[in-house]
Amino acid sequence: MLRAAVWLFWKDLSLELRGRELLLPAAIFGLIIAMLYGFAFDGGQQVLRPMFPGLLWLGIFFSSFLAVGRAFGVEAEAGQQLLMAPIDRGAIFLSKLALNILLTLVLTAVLTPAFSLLLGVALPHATWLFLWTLVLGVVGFAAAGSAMGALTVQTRLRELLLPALLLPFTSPLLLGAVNATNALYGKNPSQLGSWLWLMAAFDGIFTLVPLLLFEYLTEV
Amino acid sequence: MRYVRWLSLPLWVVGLYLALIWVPDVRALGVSYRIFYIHLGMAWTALLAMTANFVLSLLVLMRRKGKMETDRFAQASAEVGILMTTATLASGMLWARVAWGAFWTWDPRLTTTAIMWFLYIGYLLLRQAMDDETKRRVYSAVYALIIFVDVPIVYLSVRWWRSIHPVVFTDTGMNITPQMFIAVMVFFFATLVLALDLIYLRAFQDKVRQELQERRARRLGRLGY
Repeated sequence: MLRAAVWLFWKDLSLELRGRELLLPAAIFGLIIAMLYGFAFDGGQQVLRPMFPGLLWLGIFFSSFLAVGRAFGVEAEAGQQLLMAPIDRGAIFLSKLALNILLTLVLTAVLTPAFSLLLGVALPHATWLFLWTLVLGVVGFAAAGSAMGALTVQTRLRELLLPALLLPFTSPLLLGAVNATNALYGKNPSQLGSWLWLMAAFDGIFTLVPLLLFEYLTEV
Repeated sequence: MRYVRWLSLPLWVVGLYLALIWVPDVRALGVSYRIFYIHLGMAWTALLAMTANFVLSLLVLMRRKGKMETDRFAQASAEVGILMTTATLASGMLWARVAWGAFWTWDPRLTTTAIMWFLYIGYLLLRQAMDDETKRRVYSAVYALIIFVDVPIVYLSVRWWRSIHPVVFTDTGMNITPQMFIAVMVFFFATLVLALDLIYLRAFQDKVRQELQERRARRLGRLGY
């Protein structure tokens, strides 16, 4: 299963490297969000500082959402060919998950410094813990996004349905990520551990549960 | 089921009498708290309906026979669950306006209920957006399982979040007297019976709709269309 997943992941990755169809528009969209935040909330002011974790995470979630939503769409447009391959169906889900995680991580690596620069708020000093927070938040979002992407791929109006399903679903993750980041800025720092655990639990549960259920989706 | 239907009406009448007349006022809250009887019964029924949806969705995936029937009941229980959740939110907001001075607060229970509402609306949206019946059945069942797991995580996260912020509104800590308990339970059963009846009715209606559709298709086929 793992071997097949690695090959599928490689296929998607080389497609992305050649076309840059997902990452570039998503990253541009993220930067636009940062600009609009600056306009809407008067970026030059100190007002933004307490709001920065929330603004950053909303920016990451919204732009990741664009990239994550497309991963299964590529297969939908190619027809059912992938399902004819003699491989474990779980491998398809794993490869999409890996691709989504990679894409959202790259996106976050671009957007986080950009948000910091544009909104004029320095990133937290505890670099490793901050990186860990980013990874946990982004991986959870990619996992949930892969699951919801797989569920909506066969529907009409896929692009409209996905946010309605995915964004309420990931609300605990958003709370965890924003509050962990707040903790790194010195607001209730003692809560940091609980929020990181919550995010890790979300990541684990929603990688495993869809992986177990994916078999059912490909049978019909 | 035909006879259960007639149980709902007297239960509602008795429940309304108990909640509105029989139970005395609570001094601190006055008359407004009486909405609590309706509210609580509906909230419990909503949770039970969502649990039924989860169990039925599991059966849709696991069982070989009777998938269509099970799926109909899964959909119906989600719909009734949403109805009850909406009523819970509406009655809760009315009471909150009187007791807390605001329609909405970010109390863990309120917030979780609202997110649960969105998640199950998503269930109906997903069903609506799929034309193939077999696919709709399986996809929506998988979605139902995933969101059922999500609800407790939402509750946990919101509770932690709120415990960090200063708590503006605490629960009023109503002590339930035996009299109140009776009224609560009667109302709970009245709502539960109503919900069961609605679920049954909705599943039946869907079955009839499908049969009509099939007959119509057959007839058009005979006519050579």
